[in-house]
Parts: sequence; C-alpha cells; structure tokens
Amino acid sequence: MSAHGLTDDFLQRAQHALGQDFLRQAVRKTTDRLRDGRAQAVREAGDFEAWRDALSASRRRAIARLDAVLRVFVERASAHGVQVHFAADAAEACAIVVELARAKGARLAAKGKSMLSEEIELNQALEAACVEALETDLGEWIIQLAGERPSHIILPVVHKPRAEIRELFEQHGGITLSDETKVLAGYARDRLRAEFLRADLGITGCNMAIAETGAVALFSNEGNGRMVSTLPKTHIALMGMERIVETRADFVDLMRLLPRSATGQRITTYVNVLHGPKRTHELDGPEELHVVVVDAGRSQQLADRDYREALACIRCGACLNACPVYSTVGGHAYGTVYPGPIGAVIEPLYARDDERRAELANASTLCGACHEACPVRIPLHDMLVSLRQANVRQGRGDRSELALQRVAARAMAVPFVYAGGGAVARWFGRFVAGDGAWPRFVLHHTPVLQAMARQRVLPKPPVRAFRDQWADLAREDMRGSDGR
Amino acid sequence: MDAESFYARIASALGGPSPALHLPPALKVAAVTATATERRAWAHLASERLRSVGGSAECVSRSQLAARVQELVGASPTVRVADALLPAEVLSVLGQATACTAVDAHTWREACAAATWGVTDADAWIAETGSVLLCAQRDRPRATSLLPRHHLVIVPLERVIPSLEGALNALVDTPSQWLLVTGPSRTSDIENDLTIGVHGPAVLHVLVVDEETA
Ligand code: SF4
Repeated sequence: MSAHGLTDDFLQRAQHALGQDFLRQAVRKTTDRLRDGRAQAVREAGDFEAWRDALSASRRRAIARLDAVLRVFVERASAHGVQVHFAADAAEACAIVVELARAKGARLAAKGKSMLSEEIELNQALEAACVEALETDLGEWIIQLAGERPSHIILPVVHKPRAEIRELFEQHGGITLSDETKVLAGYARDRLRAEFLRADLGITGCNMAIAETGAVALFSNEGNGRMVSTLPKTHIALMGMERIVETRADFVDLMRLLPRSATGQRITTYVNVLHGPKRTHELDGPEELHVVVVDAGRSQQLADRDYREALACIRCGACLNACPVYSTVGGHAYGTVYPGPIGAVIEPLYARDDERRAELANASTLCGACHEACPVRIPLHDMLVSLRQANVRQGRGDRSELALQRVAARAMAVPFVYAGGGAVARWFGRFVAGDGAWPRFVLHHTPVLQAMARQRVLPKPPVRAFRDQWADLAREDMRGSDGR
Repeated sequence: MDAESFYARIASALGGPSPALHLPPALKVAAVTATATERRAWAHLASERLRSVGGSAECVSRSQLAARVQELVGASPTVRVADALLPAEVLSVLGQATACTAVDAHTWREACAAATWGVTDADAWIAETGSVLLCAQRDRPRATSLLPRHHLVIVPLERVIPSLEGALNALVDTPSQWLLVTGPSRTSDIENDLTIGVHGPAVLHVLVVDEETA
C-alpha cells in the first residue's frame, strides 16, 4: 500500500477510468442527474426530513431485534404459502437456488435486477448446473452480454456508450440497428419477451420484506420484475436478511423515500408486494414462491457495534451520487460488487481479511456528503474513519508513512520542536515542489513522498508558517486598535 | 441452514435472543370518507401527477363512458377483467375482448400476449403519486395489466383517495399481489436517456367515472 493507502490495483483501475473520456463524463452526468432529481424531490416533498427520521428509526428498530422480526415474517409468509429458506453464506444460497432449479427441471431462469445475486455470484452457479441465467433488466442484460460487472447499483450500465450497446445487440441478433434509444430498448423488449414466456424460473431480489403481512416487495421501473414474478411457474426471491421492516406504516415511508433518494421519482413505476404464490383460482402468477434469506457476512456486521447501523441501508445509491470520488472514477475502480461509500463500508465487513476491500476506506475524501444524502442517515464517513483506524491498527499501510506519522505525533506535542520541524519541512517542501532535476530526483527517491507525489501535485508551502503570519496580523490589529 | 440455527446466529450477534415480537395481526383502518368535490380535487391532482410521469387520465360521465372506451380500444385485440368489475355499459362495447372468466390459464396467457389493450378496474387511484392500485384476484389476473402494450383503467370517482396510506387496507387481505402502477414502464439505462415502454405497457390511461359530470 502506498502513502494514500491505495494499492496499485485500485490506482490502475482509477487511472483506467480517468483515461476514458466517455466514462468520466457519463458517470458525472449520471450522478449529477440523479443528485438533481433527488434535490428536486426533496424540495417538492414538504415532509422529507420527517420521513427520513421515521424510516431511520424503523430500520434501526427492525435491525435491533432482527431475529424476532424475521420470525414474524417467516410465520406469516408461510401462512400464505411462501416457502422460506435460510442461507448462511453465498455458497449455501447458490446451492439452494440450484437445487430448486434442478428439482423443477428448469432450463432457463429469467432474472430481475438483484445486487445480492451479483454478490453471491448466482449466475455462475446456475450456469455450472446447466441452467441458463438470463438478466432481463435492460442495463443488467447489456452487462451480461458484454461480460462485465454493474458500475452503479441503480443504473448498472452508466459507463457504456450507446454505440457499444448497439454493437452488442447487433452481434447478439445478427442484425443492423440504429443508435436510437427507442430502437435499442425496443430490440431488448422484443428479444426478452419471448424469454419471459419460456422461462421456468423467475429470480428476483427483494427490496424489502414486511413482517406484519409476511410480504416481499419489489420496486422497479421497466416491468421485468413483474414479468419474472408472474410468468414462470416458480419464483425465487433472494433477500438479504436485514431487508425487512416491521409494519405497513414503515413500508409507506420506504415507498416515499427509496424512489426519491434513488432517482428523484415520487414513486417507481411499479411497487410490487407479494404475499405468496397465486391462489388456487387465479389464472396467472407463479405456482410457488420461495424466499431465500441470506446472511453472507451480515451477522458479523450485526455483531460489530461500530458498523451495525450500515445494515439499515435501503440500497438507494444516493451516497454514490453524492460522493466526489465515485463521481470521478465510477464504480469499476472499486473492484467490488458494491461501489461508492456504502461499498467501501460493507465490502470489507463482508470479507474481513481481504486487503483489497480494506483499502476502499481510503477511497474517500471524508467530506460527509454521503451521510447528508443518505435517507436513513447512516454515518458512512464516521465508519470510513474507523475502518481506516482499524487498518492502521492491523498494520495495513505504508511503513514509512506510519513511521512519519509517529514522528509527527511526537513533534506536535512539543511546541519548539513543532516550530523548528515546521521550518525544516517548509524549506524541504519548497525545494521538492520547485522545478529542475534535483528536486525531482529527491522527490522520487524519498520514501512516503514518492508515493504521495505519484498521484498528486504537491503544493508549494509558503515561506512563512501560518502561525507566524497570524502573530503578525494579531500585532497589527493591536496597534490599530491602540491608535483609535 | 435450518431456521432455528439461523435465528440463533442473529441472536448471538445481537448479544442474546430478542424478546418475541407481538405484532398484532394487521387490521384495517376506517376508509377515508369524502365528498364528491373532494374526490374530484384528488382526481385532478392524481391525473397531474400521472401525466408528469408519462401516463394520462381523463374524467368521464357514465353516459360518455362507453363511447370513450370504444374510441380508445376500437376493434383491437383486447383482454379484460371479469364482468363484475366493470360498468355494464362498457361490456357491450368490449364485446370482442377476451374476458378472464371465459378461458383457461393457457388460453388466457396467449390472449394477453397477443392483445393490444388490457382493460382493468382498480382498487384505488392515489392522488399523492397518481398510482393505480391493483390487487390480484380471480376476476382480475395479473397479466391483464402486464402483457398488452396499452393498459386502460376504468375507476369510479369513489375510489380516488388522497395518499398512499389509503392503499394499505388492501394489504391486510394479503392478496397474492398488491401492485401500484404509476405510469408506463420506463428505463434510463441507455446513456440516461429516458424511454417509455420497455417490458411493461407503454401506455397507461385512466378513465375516472364521475356520475355527476354532465
Ligand atoms: S448507505 Fe444510505 S445513501 Fe447509500 S445506498 Fe444505503 S441507504 Fe442509500
């Protein structure tokens, strides 16, 4: 790790992102658009802060007694025919789905958008079991055709220019298309329509469960979520174990906040709340509804008081859009399933000794914009600070930087050492920030500095320290008031 | 993993099992009572909000209704909900439409996939968001409002309600699907460019039937 705590891997991915003009502009444009949308929705909705208070409280309440809340959910959902399964980790979650697919003799699984499915790498597991897993959310389908990963949790394909999308579709269909959005979306519609009707299995995520009525809820705009939860004979919903509210009233707050925080919509086009499979006399709907409740690192996070609150997350993506780092480098630079501030917090918690995830805490300016945007007021920036502290405690980080920090800590405790050291540091700083071969040589051969300078332009320190300038000002001020 | 072990893991993460949660079974609250004038004002707001997301709505009197439906749907292939859910005069102009009560599941699905219009009623129309509430039931199958390219909703003025809270009573009955539809299906996945009509219907039109409208 270098002096800013980021490995070469991260820096390379970030550099790669920064080198792509389209990607940079697209990510910026998207985050701007979503942020503006949210801001406008906040202005329009008089009660926004009250809703935030209510949802923040209800999410935390449910998390604080999650075992009891899940029991109620499971009891009531089972009463209307939902079959609930529990998975301790990603492997078990995949195994449950694969086993269900096998039992049904399923050949094609049509999927709605689910970040949890990305997290547990379900598609790979299904393919390995010879079940075709087909993403049907337009963005996710494009990602699948391209063999990539989503770069935003709400808009997975922000990084792709339309010309590339057209090429993918042309290759897929063996036809010629135009660049128009309507044409491209129309192609996806026509192609996927047949698949919806053919699929034996529908797989979705679960935006939130409601314990009171034993329901799972799906929010979507395209309608593919409705297709996959209606047309195939079997519907499987993957649910992170923390995605639950207690009552219908809590759910109303969610309906008001999730779409507004995500895209600025008053509500998503579809809010689909499911209480079990189709009833005997109904003409359509799945014959079976399975809910797979997944832990996969969440109970560890629950046990950790410092990070428990992050389980209140409703996955709206507002913190991504607010984040200056995310808006600059985009999602792929993070190299994880969940990018942005929420990703930097939860990814390391899901896999505690993964160095690459640990470093993400450093991919932040700690400006707090994520906290301000978060509908459930998760103190993401505080968590990032404590993750950084934990990293240092565990000896992660650049050795020379750590040594320098220890020296600095000593020096700052003694005023005359601090003043003297400052003078030396300023002189040295002015020297290495100067032009010429010597300064450059020194800069590139001094530990700490070389790493710092690699990604940054070092500022040139002033000749006189701020405290000296301040003392002068204070003296002048004194004289001024004396003379009056 | 079995349920008890799963709960036990959570309990140990929380530092001990939580006391049982006595969540009373969901109960209905009294529905909003309102005058026709109030409901008209809500309908006005609902149609404004629906329009802002690409849907459309209009207020019609009972006597205009049949003609208006005829105009919209014409002779296009149409599927519809059961007789009981629609005003009688509409049934006569929807003579060619496939009613969900008249066919088996297989035929129903084929009919929906081939239909241009799907005609439904609604449990409520909500001013706050412009959303139509559709709970699945025998007489109102899900695909009616999903597979056809156009979705026509016929809802009486008495079912116009002010806010989302009013839609919660319907959750108490735990219908297999409780669905809010707010406008045509949409996506912004391609370069942030909003497109209407992806997988779900591209047209959502609400006819609110006001008995007293001249
Ligand atoms: S942390 Fe907050 S802002 Fe970020 S995705 Fe979760 S709920 Fe949204």
